[in-house]
Amino acid sequence: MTYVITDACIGTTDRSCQDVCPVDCIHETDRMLVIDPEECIDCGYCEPSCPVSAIYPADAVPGDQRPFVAINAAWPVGGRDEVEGLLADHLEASS
Amino acid sequence: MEGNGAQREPDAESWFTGRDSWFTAGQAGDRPTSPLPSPASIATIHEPARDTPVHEETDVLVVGGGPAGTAAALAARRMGQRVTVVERYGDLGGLSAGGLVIWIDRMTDWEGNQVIRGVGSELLERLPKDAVAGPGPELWGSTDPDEVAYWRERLSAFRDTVCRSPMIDPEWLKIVSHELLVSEGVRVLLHSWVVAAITDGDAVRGAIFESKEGRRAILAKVVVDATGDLDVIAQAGGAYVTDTEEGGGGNVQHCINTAFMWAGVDFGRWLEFKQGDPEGHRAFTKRGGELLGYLESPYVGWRDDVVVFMGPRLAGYSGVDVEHLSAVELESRRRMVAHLDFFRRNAPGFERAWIMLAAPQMGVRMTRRLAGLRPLTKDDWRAGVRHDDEIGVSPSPSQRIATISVPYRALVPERLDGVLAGGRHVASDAPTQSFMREIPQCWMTGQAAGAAAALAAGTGASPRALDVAELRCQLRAQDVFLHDTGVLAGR
Repeated sequence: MTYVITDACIGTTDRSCQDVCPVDCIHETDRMLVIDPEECIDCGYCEPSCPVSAIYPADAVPGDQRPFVAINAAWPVGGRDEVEGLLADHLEASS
Repeated sequence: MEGNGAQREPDAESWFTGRDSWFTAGQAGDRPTSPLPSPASIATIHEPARDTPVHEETDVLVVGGGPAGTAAALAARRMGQRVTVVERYGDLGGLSAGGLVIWIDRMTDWEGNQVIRGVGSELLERLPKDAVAGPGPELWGSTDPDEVAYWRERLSAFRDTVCRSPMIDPEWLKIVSHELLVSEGVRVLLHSWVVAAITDGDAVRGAIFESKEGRRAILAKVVVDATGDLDVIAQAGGAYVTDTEEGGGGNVQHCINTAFMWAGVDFGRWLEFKQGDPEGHRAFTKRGGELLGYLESPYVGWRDDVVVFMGPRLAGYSGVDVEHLSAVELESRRRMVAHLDFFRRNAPGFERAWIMLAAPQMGVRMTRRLAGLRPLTKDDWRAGVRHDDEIGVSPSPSQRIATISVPYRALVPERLDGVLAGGRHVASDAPTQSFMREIPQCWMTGQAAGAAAALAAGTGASPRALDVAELRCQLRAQDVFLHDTGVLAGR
């Protein structure tokens, strides 16, 4: 279980969440920030810190935002390249 | 076999033979839940007026015996007041005991100075040595990579820094808390649930509790609301905020769950797997996520054969809705057994794990917060504001933010008199509550609320008109860390 950053972050990347994350598990990519689910300890500090309400507990990610669970989870697998690849695929598929 | 059993790997034999369809989470719609209540023929009934026996009269009444209430009661008693604490469960410690929040969040700043001390620290030090696991003082603030790597897996190192944030044995916390309070003369009333505030205009004068004896009243000079859900202040008609859109708080999900502990674990073997085989661990997590909906991580307890799960968190429920609470108990236990099934069959070190305890007290993170004289806000701590009525200092979430100054006014209701708040419901905005709800912060605000209540009860002053300098002096005498007046900002 983890928190997930969704599409409202794209183009915003406010970074408040990075400042309050006690385990430093929020990473910046080209277009958005993502939460590494392998490092996240589920404290929930980031959720209310986000000025655009982009962060959800995994259990509550809205249906149309579900692809972002995998996009966030791509970080520990392949870093920003992996995240950006998946994000590009998602944006193309949903455009 | 029926239902979700078909989803399992064909060769993976479940030890819940023939019943595993009950235990696969993430399939909520397929499983039975408690039937809805039958519609009632009338909307309300009228209860006749009655005389309620007065159980006792005291100086300071503390409602709730969790971290905040325990600290409040002790603080007030040590200032010479008569104190009664009323607790609905059969023990003291609240979420840090019955709620299995046995991981005590950070009490040190990023340099390793302990900024949350006082009663919380005293309780930890009174625990038997084998009932607490955490780095010693010589390691607080250490950035030694080996120490960080070791303590990180035990939730005692964050952002490459070792912190005081130990794991504790909840049974010993209950014992130590109860013994400490009664040894100093605090009256501890258990199995008693406060159901109504006693008010006189805008002043709270006590509370009515229910128990096996029925309904009884306690009168007090000052009441400390340490219920976590602001029950007393809400009952008295005091103002509060929620984090729903209609509550003015911005729609933050505050997940709920019943936490659980397993024994019979070999945490060393689990760590060997997790650290020695990252690919295997990733595959394990992915598989668990597919089978169970998502996979919660285990954290080692105060000993290496016990792990605690502080989730899976469930969103969309209210912690003050009894239908929701009932549903979350059922769903949390289903997810617990689904996890146990999966871990026993797939996680090295968990082959012989067994359910030690599902928390008797539900993990509710936020329901109602006080509308106080001066809520803690993100803007304040972002700007490094130190309040001139500071009654406590919280560690900050990261090195990018200075330690956080907590004003007395965050404990004081806007309108009501004779009552103070201590615990996770003190006045704050949602980003601030995300850490002010942790156990050490509840000890901190509880101790301050108790000391303030004692001062008010002893002098006859209204809590909102207290001499804050005297309060700070009393708190310092009780080992609370506070910044010097010279570095505090004006109002």
